[in-house]
Amino acid sequence: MNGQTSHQQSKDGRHDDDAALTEFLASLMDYTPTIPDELVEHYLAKSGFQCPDIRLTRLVAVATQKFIADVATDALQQCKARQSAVVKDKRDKQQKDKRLILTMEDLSRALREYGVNVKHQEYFADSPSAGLDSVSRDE
Amino acid sequence: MRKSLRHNDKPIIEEAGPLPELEFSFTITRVAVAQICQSMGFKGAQISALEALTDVATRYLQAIAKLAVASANSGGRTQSNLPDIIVALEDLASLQGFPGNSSIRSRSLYTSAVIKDLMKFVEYTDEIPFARPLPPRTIFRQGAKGKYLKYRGDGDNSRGYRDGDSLRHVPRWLPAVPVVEGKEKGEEGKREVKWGCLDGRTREEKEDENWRFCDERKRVERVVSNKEIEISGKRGKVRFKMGVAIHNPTMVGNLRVQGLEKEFGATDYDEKEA
Repeated sequence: MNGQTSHQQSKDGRHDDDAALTEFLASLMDYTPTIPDELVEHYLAKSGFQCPDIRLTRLVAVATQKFIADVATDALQQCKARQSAVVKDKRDKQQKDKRLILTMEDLSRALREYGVNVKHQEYFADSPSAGLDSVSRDE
Repeated sequence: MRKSLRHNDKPIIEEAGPLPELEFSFTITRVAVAQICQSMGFKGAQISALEALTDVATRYLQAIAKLAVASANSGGRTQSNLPDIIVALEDLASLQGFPGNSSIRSRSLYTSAVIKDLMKFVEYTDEIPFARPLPPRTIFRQGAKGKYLKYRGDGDNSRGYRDGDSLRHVPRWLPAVPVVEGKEKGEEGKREVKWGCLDGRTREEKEDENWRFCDERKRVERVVSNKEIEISGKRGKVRFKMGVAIHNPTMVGNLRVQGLEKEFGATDYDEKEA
Protein backbone atom coordinates (compact mmCIF):
# COMPACT_ATOMS: atom_id res chain seq x y z
CA MET A 1 0.00 0.00 0.00
CA ASN A 2 2.74 2.37 0.93
CA GLY A 3 4.57 1.61 -2.25
CA GLN A 4 1.50 2.29 -4.24
CA THR A 5 0.87 5.70 -2.73
CA SER A 6 4.44 6.82 -3.25
CA HIS A 7 4.27 5.59 -6.81
CA GLN A 8 1.10 7.52 -7.24
CA GLN A 9 2.71 10.66 -5.92
CA SER A 10 5.69 10.34 -8.19
CA LYS A 11 3.34 9.86 -11.11
CA ASP A 12 1.49 13.04 -10.25
CA GLY A 13 4.77 14.88 -9.98
CA ARG A 14 5.76 13.66 -13.39
CA HIS A 15 2.46 14.77 -14.81
CA ASP A 16 3.03 18.24 -13.44
CA ASP A 17 6.47 18.41 -14.98
CA ASP A 18 5.18 17.18 -18.29
CA ALA A 19 2.33 19.67 -18.17
CA ALA A 20 4.70 22.52 -17.37
CA LEU A 21 6.99 21.49 -20.19
CA THR A 22 4.14 21.22 -22.68
CA GLU A 23 2.93 24.64 -21.64
CA PHE A 24 6.40 26.01 -22.06
CA LEU A 25 6.74 24.61 -25.57
CA ALA A 26 3.38 26.08 -26.47
CA SER A 27 4.39 29.45 -25.09
CA LEU A 28 7.53 29.30 -27.19
CA MET A 29 5.44 29.72 -30.28
CA ASP A 30 4.35 33.11 -28.98
CA TYR A 31 7.83 34.20 -28.06
CA THR A 32 9.92 35.25 -31.03
CA PRO A 33 13.59 34.62 -30.42
CA THR A 34 16.05 37.19 -31.70
CA ILE A 35 17.79 34.67 -33.90
CA PRO A 36 15.46 34.03 -36.84
CA ASP A 37 14.08 30.56 -37.30
CA GLU A 38 15.55 30.12 -40.75
CA LEU A 39 19.03 30.93 -39.52
CA VAL A 40 18.75 28.44 -36.68
CA GLU A 41 17.48 25.80 -39.08
CA HIS A 42 20.41 26.49 -41.37
CA TYR A 43 22.97 25.90 -38.64
CA LEU A 44 21.13 22.88 -37.30
CA ALA A 45 20.90 21.34 -40.74
CA LYS A 46 24.60 21.96 -41.21
CA SER A 47 25.33 19.71 -38.25
CA GLY A 48 22.89 17.01 -39.22
CA PHE A 49 20.06 17.89 -36.91
CA GLN A 50 16.75 16.69 -38.26
CA CYS A 51 13.53 17.61 -36.65
CA PRO A 52 10.26 18.65 -38.23
CA ASP A 53 9.04 20.20 -34.99
CA ILE A 54 9.27 23.98 -35.05
CA ARG A 55 9.03 24.23 -31.29
CA LEU A 56 12.33 22.43 -30.88
CA THR A 57 14.09 24.82 -33.25
CA ARG A 58 12.63 27.67 -31.24
CA LEU A 59 13.89 25.99 -28.09
CA VAL A 60 17.40 25.84 -29.50
CA ALA A 61 17.17 29.47 -30.61
CA VAL A 62 16.05 30.55 -27.16
CA ALA A 63 18.82 28.52 -25.53
CA THR A 64 21.41 30.21 -27.71
CA GLN A 65 19.92 33.59 -26.99
CA LYS A 66 20.10 32.90 -23.28
CA PHE A 67 23.72 31.83 -23.59
CA ILE A 68 24.73 34.97 -25.47
CA ALA A 69 22.76 37.08 -23.02
CA ASP A 70 24.61 35.48 -20.12
CA VAL A 71 27.96 36.14 -21.75
CA ALA A 72 26.96 39.72 -22.49
CA THR A 73 25.84 40.21 -18.90
CA ASP A 74 29.16 38.98 -17.60
CA ALA A 75 31.05 41.22 -20.01
CA LEU A 76 28.90 44.14 -18.90
CA GLN A 77 29.76 43.45 -15.29
CA GLN A 78 33.44 43.36 -16.17
CA CYS A 79 33.09 46.67 -17.97
CA LYS A 80 31.31 48.31 -15.08
CA ALA A 81 33.81 46.93 -12.58
CA ARG A 82 36.61 48.44 -14.60
CA GLN A 83 34.91 51.78 -14.78
CA SER A 84 34.24 51.91 -11.06
CA ALA A 85 37.85 51.03 -10.34
CA VAL A 86 39.15 53.99 -12.28
CA VAL A 87 39.15 57.09 -10.15
CA LYS A 88 38.28 60.15 -12.18
CA ASP A 89 36.42 63.40 -11.83
CA LYS A 90 32.72 63.28 -11.60
CA ARG A 91 32.24 64.62 -15.09
CA ASP A 92 34.44 62.06 -16.76
CA LYS A 93 32.84 59.19 -14.94
CA GLN A 94 29.38 60.15 -16.08
CA GLN A 95 30.59 60.37 -19.60
CA LYS A 96 32.13 56.96 -19.38
CA ASP A 97 29.00 55.43 -17.92
CA LYS A 98 27.13 56.32 -21.01
CA ARG A 99 29.66 54.68 -23.22
CA LEU A 100 29.47 51.03 -22.33
CA ILE A 101 31.36 49.35 -25.10
CA LEU A 102 31.93 45.66 -25.55
CA THR A 103 35.68 45.28 -25.70
CA MET A 104 37.79 42.29 -26.49
CA GLU A 105 39.29 42.26 -23.03
CA ASP A 106 35.99 42.14 -21.21
CA LEU A 107 34.70 39.55 -23.60
CA SER A 108 37.67 37.26 -23.20
CA ARG A 109 37.37 37.46 -19.42
CA ALA A 110 33.68 36.71 -19.54
CA LEU A 111 34.10 33.84 -21.98
CA ARG A 112 36.85 32.23 -19.96
CA GLU A 113 34.32 31.05 -17.43
CA TYR A 114 32.35 29.37 -20.15
CA GLY A 115 35.33 27.41 -21.33
CA VAL A 116 36.03 29.53 -24.39
CA ASN A 117 39.56 30.86 -24.56
CA VAL A 118 39.76 33.96 -26.67
CA LYS A 119 43.24 35.32 -27.03
CA HIS A 120 43.57 38.61 -28.74
CA GLN A 121 46.59 40.27 -30.19
CA GLU A 122 47.38 43.49 -28.43
CA TYR A 123 48.49 45.19 -31.58
CA PHE A 124 49.75 44.42 -35.02
CA ALA A 125 52.96 45.98 -36.23
CA ASP A 126 54.08 46.28 -39.80
CA SER A 127 57.78 45.84 -39.08
CA PRO A 128 59.85 44.43 -36.25
CA SER A 129 61.24 47.80 -35.33
CA ALA A 130 57.95 49.63 -35.16
CA GLY A 131 57.38 51.41 -31.89
CA LEU A 132 60.99 51.18 -30.77
CA ASP A 133 62.80 54.31 -29.82
CA SER A 134 65.27 55.84 -32.25
CA VAL A 135 68.41 54.42 -30.56
CA SER A 136 67.51 50.78 -31.06
CA ARG A 137 66.11 51.48 -34.46
CA ASP A 138 69.44 52.65 -35.68
CA GLU A 139 70.92 49.32 -34.72
CA MET B 1 43.09 51.41 -34.12
CA ARG B 2 39.85 50.81 -32.38
CA LYS B 3 36.65 50.99 -34.24
CA SER B 4 33.34 50.91 -32.53
CA LEU B 5 30.05 50.06 -34.09
CA ARG B 6 27.22 52.15 -32.82
CA HIS B 7 24.10 50.26 -32.07
CA ASN B 8 21.92 53.29 -32.49
CA ASP B 9 22.50 53.26 -36.20
CA LYS B 10 21.13 50.51 -38.35
CA PRO B 11 23.58 47.68 -38.91
CA ILE B 12 25.43 48.05 -42.15
CA ILE B 13 25.47 44.93 -44.27
CA GLU B 14 28.04 45.28 -46.96
CA GLU B 15 26.88 44.12 -50.31
CA ALA B 16 29.79 43.29 -52.52
CA GLY B 17 28.20 41.06 -55.10
CA PRO B 18 27.04 37.54 -54.33
CA LEU B 19 28.07 36.57 -50.80
CA PRO B 20 29.14 33.04 -50.05
CA GLU B 21 26.74 31.34 -47.76
CA LEU B 22 29.06 31.30 -44.78
CA GLU B 23 29.47 35.04 -44.76
CA PHE B 24 25.80 35.54 -45.35
CA SER B 25 24.69 33.55 -42.33
CA PHE B 26 27.50 35.02 -40.27
CA THR B 27 26.40 38.53 -41.07
CA ILE B 28 22.84 37.80 -40.10
CA THR B 29 23.96 36.18 -36.87
CA ARG B 30 26.10 39.20 -36.13
CA VAL B 31 23.07 41.44 -36.36
CA ALA B 32 21.14 39.21 -33.97
CA VAL B 33 24.01 39.08 -31.48
CA ALA B 34 24.40 42.84 -31.65
CA GLN B 35 20.73 43.21 -30.84
CA ILE B 36 21.08 40.94 -27.84
CA CYS B 37 24.06 42.93 -26.57
CA GLN B 38 22.17 46.15 -27.01
CA SER B 39 19.26 44.83 -24.99
CA MET B 40 21.69 43.99 -22.20
CA GLY B 41 22.79 47.61 -22.00
CA PHE B 42 25.80 47.90 -24.25
CA LYS B 43 25.94 51.07 -26.28
CA GLY B 44 28.60 49.95 -28.69
CA ALA B 45 31.02 47.20 -29.42
CA GLN B 46 34.41 46.68 -30.93
CA ILE B 47 34.06 45.00 -34.27
CA SER B 48 36.51 42.26 -33.40
CA ALA B 49 34.71 41.60 -30.12
CA LEU B 50 31.35 41.43 -31.86
CA GLU B 51 32.67 39.06 -34.48
CA ALA B 52 34.25 36.87 -31.84
CA LEU B 53 30.97 36.67 -29.96
CA THR B 54 29.13 35.87 -33.18
CA ASP B 55 31.56 33.08 -33.88
CA VAL B 56 30.93 31.72 -30.39
CA ALA B 57 27.19 31.87 -31.02
CA THR B 58 27.42 29.91 -34.26
CA ARG B 59 29.63 27.32 -32.64
CA TYR B 60 27.22 27.01 -29.74
CA LEU B 61 24.35 26.39 -32.12
CA GLN B 62 26.32 23.77 -33.97
CA ALA B 63 27.45 22.18 -30.72
CA ILE B 64 23.85 21.79 -29.56
CA ALA B 65 22.98 20.22 -32.89
CA LYS B 66 25.92 17.83 -32.86
CA LEU B 67 25.27 16.65 -29.33
CA ALA B 68 21.56 16.23 -29.98
CA VAL B 69 22.26 14.24 -33.12
CA ALA B 70 24.76 12.05 -31.30
CA SER B 71 22.27 11.40 -28.55
CA ALA B 72 19.58 10.50 -31.07
CA ASN B 73 21.88 8.23 -33.03
CA SER B 74 22.94 6.36 -29.95
CA GLY B 75 19.29 5.71 -29.33
CA GLY B 76 18.88 4.32 -32.83
CA ARG B 77 16.95 7.28 -34.15
CA THR B 78 17.67 9.64 -36.99
CA GLN B 79 15.46 12.48 -35.84
CA SER B 80 16.18 14.27 -32.63
CA ASN B 81 13.50 14.95 -30.10
CA LEU B 82 13.13 16.92 -26.90
CA PRO B 83 15.16 14.69 -24.55
CA ASP B 84 18.02 14.76 -27.04
CA ILE B 85 18.08 18.52 -26.93
CA ILE B 86 17.92 18.56 -23.16
CA VAL B 87 20.86 16.17 -23.01
CA ALA B 88 22.79 18.46 -25.36
CA LEU B 89 21.98 21.55 -23.32
CA GLU B 90 22.96 19.81 -20.11
CA ASP B 91 26.27 18.79 -21.63
CA LEU B 92 27.04 22.36 -22.60
CA ALA B 93 25.88 23.74 -19.28
CA SER B 94 27.90 21.26 -17.28
CA LEU B 95 30.94 23.54 -17.64
CA GLN B 96 29.33 26.25 -15.60
CA GLY B 97 27.35 23.77 -13.60
CA PHE B 98 23.73 23.67 -12.70
CA PRO B 99 21.83 22.29 -9.71
CA GLY B 100 21.08 18.63 -10.05
CA ASN B 101 24.09 17.85 -12.17
CA SER B 102 25.76 15.88 -9.42
CA SER B 103 22.84 13.73 -8.46
CA ILE B 104 23.77 10.09 -8.60
CA ARG B 105 20.25 8.80 -8.96
CA SER B 106 18.89 8.87 -12.44
CA ARG B 107 16.84 12.00 -12.70
CA SER B 108 14.17 12.92 -15.14
CA LEU B 109 15.35 15.06 -17.98
CA TYR B 110 12.13 17.00 -18.01
CA THR B 111 12.78 18.39 -14.54
CA SER B 112 16.29 19.45 -15.40
CA ALA B 113 17.44 22.80 -14.09
CA VAL B 114 18.51 23.76 -17.58
CA ILE B 115 14.94 23.72 -18.82
CA LYS B 116 13.71 25.54 -15.76
CA ASP B 117 16.25 28.28 -16.35
CA LEU B 118 15.08 28.56 -19.91
CA MET B 119 11.49 28.83 -18.79
CA LYS B 120 12.38 31.66 -16.45
CA PHE B 121 14.34 33.36 -19.18
CA VAL B 122 11.42 33.24 -21.58
CA GLU B 123 9.08 34.46 -18.91
CA TYR B 124 11.07 37.44 -17.76
CA THR B 125 12.79 38.62 -20.89
CA ASP B 126 11.07 40.76 -23.44
CA GLU B 127 11.02 39.73 -26.99
CA ILE B 128 13.59 41.21 -29.29
CA PRO B 129 12.42 40.67 -32.85
CA PHE B 130 15.05 40.57 -35.51
CA ALA B 131 15.94 43.96 -36.91
CA ARG B 132 15.24 43.40 -40.56
CA PRO B 133 13.07 41.03 -42.53
CA LEU B 134 15.12 38.26 -43.97
CA PRO B 135 15.42 38.12 -47.74
CA PRO B 136 13.72 35.21 -49.44
CA ARG B 137 15.62 32.02 -49.20
CA THR B 138 18.64 32.07 -51.44
CA ILE B 139 20.57 29.02 -52.40
CA PHE B 140 24.23 29.57 -52.93
CA ARG B 141 25.99 27.88 -55.77
CA GLN B 142 29.56 28.27 -56.80
CA GLY B 143 29.89 30.82 -59.49
CA ALA B 144 26.23 31.65 -59.58
CA LYS B 145 24.73 34.89 -58.48
CA GLY B 146 22.24 34.76 -55.67
CA LYS B 147 19.00 33.71 -57.21
CA TYR B 148 15.73 34.08 -55.44
CA LEU B 149 14.00 30.79 -55.76
CA LYS B 150 10.48 29.94 -54.89
CA TYR B 151 9.84 29.55 -51.23
CA ARG B 152 8.75 26.02 -50.64
CA GLY B 153 6.85 26.59 -47.41
CA ASP B 154 7.48 25.69 -43.82
CA GLY B 155 8.43 22.32 -42.55
CA ASP B 156 9.98 21.29 -45.79
CA ASN B 157 13.36 19.88 -44.96
CA SER B 158 14.31 19.62 -48.58
CA ARG B 159 14.71 23.33 -49.02
CA GLY B 160 18.42 23.09 -49.15
CA TYR B 161 18.70 20.78 -52.09
CA ARG B 162 15.68 21.50 -54.14
CA ASP B 163 15.73 23.68 -57.16
CA GLY B 164 12.18 24.41 -58.07
CA ASP B 165 10.73 21.08 -58.96
CA SER B 166 13.79 18.91 -59.29
CA LEU B 167 16.60 17.91 -56.99
CA ARG B 168 19.93 19.61 -57.36
CA HIS B 169 22.12 16.56 -57.11
CA VAL B 170 20.29 14.70 -59.88
CA PRO B 171 21.38 15.52 -63.43
CA ARG B 172 18.67 16.91 -65.53
CA TRP B 173 18.90 14.35 -68.28
CA LEU B 174 17.92 11.46 -66.03
CA PRO B 175 14.27 10.44 -66.17
CA ALA B 176 12.08 11.19 -63.25
CA VAL B 177 11.45 8.70 -60.52
CA PRO B 178 8.07 7.02 -60.98
CA VAL B 179 5.51 7.90 -58.39
CA VAL B 180 3.49 5.12 -56.84
CA GLU B 181 -0.24 5.48 -57.20
CA GLY B 182 -1.84 6.97 -54.20
CA LYS B 183 0.45 9.91 -53.88
CA GLU B 184 -0.80 13.27 -54.93
CA LYS B 185 -1.28 13.67 -58.64
CA GLY B 186 -0.07 17.05 -59.61
CA GLU B 187 0.16 18.54 -63.02
CA GLU B 188 -0.68 17.23 -66.45
CA GLY B 189 1.62 15.16 -68.53
CA LYS B 190 1.29 11.91 -66.62
CA ARG B 191 1.07 8.62 -68.32
CA GLU B 192 0.34 5.20 -67.10
CA VAL B 193 3.09 2.77 -67.71
CA LYS B 194 2.97 -0.78 -66.60
CA TRP B 195 5.93 -2.04 -64.70
CA GLY B 196 6.57 -5.62 -63.92
CA CYS B 197 7.38 -6.27 -60.35
CA LEU B 198 8.30 -9.14 -58.17
CA ASP B 199 5.42 -10.46 -56.24
CA GLY B 200 5.86 -11.92 -52.86
CA ARG B 201 5.31 -15.53 -53.71
CA THR B 202 8.19 -16.98 -51.90
CA ARG B 203 6.49 -20.16 -50.95
CA GLU B 204 5.97 -21.09 -54.56
CA GLU B 205 9.50 -20.23 -55.29
CA LYS B 206 10.68 -22.74 -52.84
CA GLU B 207 8.31 -25.35 -54.08
CA ASP B 208 8.80 -25.24 -57.80
CA GLU B 209 12.11 -23.55 -58.09
CA ASN B 210 10.30 -21.52 -60.61
CA TRP B 211 10.72 -17.88 -60.63
CA ARG B 212 7.84 -16.04 -61.93
CA PHE B 213 7.76 -12.44 -62.76
CA CYS B 214 4.30 -11.70 -61.79
CA ASP B 215 1.57 -9.53 -62.92
CA GLU B 216 1.50 -6.01 -61.92
CA ARG B 217 -0.13 -5.31 -58.69
CA LYS B 218 0.12 -1.64 -58.70
CA ARG B 219 -0.29 0.81 -61.43
CA VAL B 220 2.64 3.08 -61.54
CA GLU B 221 2.22 6.57 -62.74
CA ARG B 222 5.04 8.25 -64.40
CA VAL B 223 5.48 11.93 -64.08
CA VAL B 224 6.74 13.35 -67.29
CA SER B 225 7.72 16.85 -66.51
CA ASN B 226 10.53 17.33 -68.93
CA LYS B 227 9.27 17.49 -72.44
CA GLU B 228 12.46 16.65 -74.24
CA ILE B 229 12.86 13.36 -72.44
CA GLU B 230 9.97 11.18 -73.41
CA ILE B 231 10.19 7.47 -73.14
CA SER B 232 8.27 6.05 -76.01
CA GLY B 233 4.75 5.27 -74.98
CA LYS B 234 3.33 2.40 -73.17
CA ARG B 235 5.27 -0.76 -73.06
CA GLY B 236 3.93 -4.22 -73.12
CA LYS B 237 4.00 -6.61 -70.30
CA VAL B 238 6.65 -9.27 -70.46
CA ARG B 239 6.38 -12.56 -68.71
CA PHE B 240 9.12 -15.06 -68.12
CA LYS B 241 9.26 -18.51 -66.83
CA MET B 242 12.62 -19.93 -66.04
CA GLY B 243 14.22 -22.78 -64.31
CA VAL B 244 14.61 -26.48 -64.16
CA ALA B 245 11.21 -28.02 -64.20
CA ILE B 246 10.95 -31.02 -62.03
CA HIS B 247 7.21 -31.46 -61.96
CA ASN B 248 6.58 -30.58 -65.51
CA PRO B 249 8.49 -32.90 -67.87
CA THR B 250 7.74 -30.82 -70.90
CA MET B 251 9.84 -27.96 -69.76
CA VAL B 252 13.07 -29.68 -68.85
CA GLY B 253 15.99 -27.38 -69.35
CA ASN B 254 13.98 -24.97 -71.33
CA LEU B 255 13.89 -21.35 -71.12
CA ARG B 256 10.64 -20.21 -72.49
CA VAL B 257 9.38 -16.81 -72.96
CA GLN B 258 5.75 -17.21 -72.60
CA GLY B 259 3.78 -14.78 -74.51
CA LEU B 260 4.54 -11.21 -75.02
CA GLU B 261 1.25 -9.68 -74.34
CA LYS B 262 0.50 -6.18 -75.14
CA GLU B 263 -2.22 -4.79 -73.16
CA PHE B 264 -3.19 -1.21 -73.08
CA GLY B 265 -5.23 0.25 -70.39
CA ALA B 266 -6.20 -2.97 -68.75
CA THR B 267 -6.55 -2.77 -65.06
CA ASP B 268 -6.94 -6.27 -63.80
CA TYR B 269 -4.51 -9.02 -64.17
CA ASP B 270 -5.37 -12.53 -63.34
CA GLU B 271 -2.86 -14.83 -61.94
CA LYS B 272 -1.98 -17.38 -64.48
CA GLU B 273 -0.70 -20.69 -63.35
CA ALA B 274 1.74 -22.78 -65.26
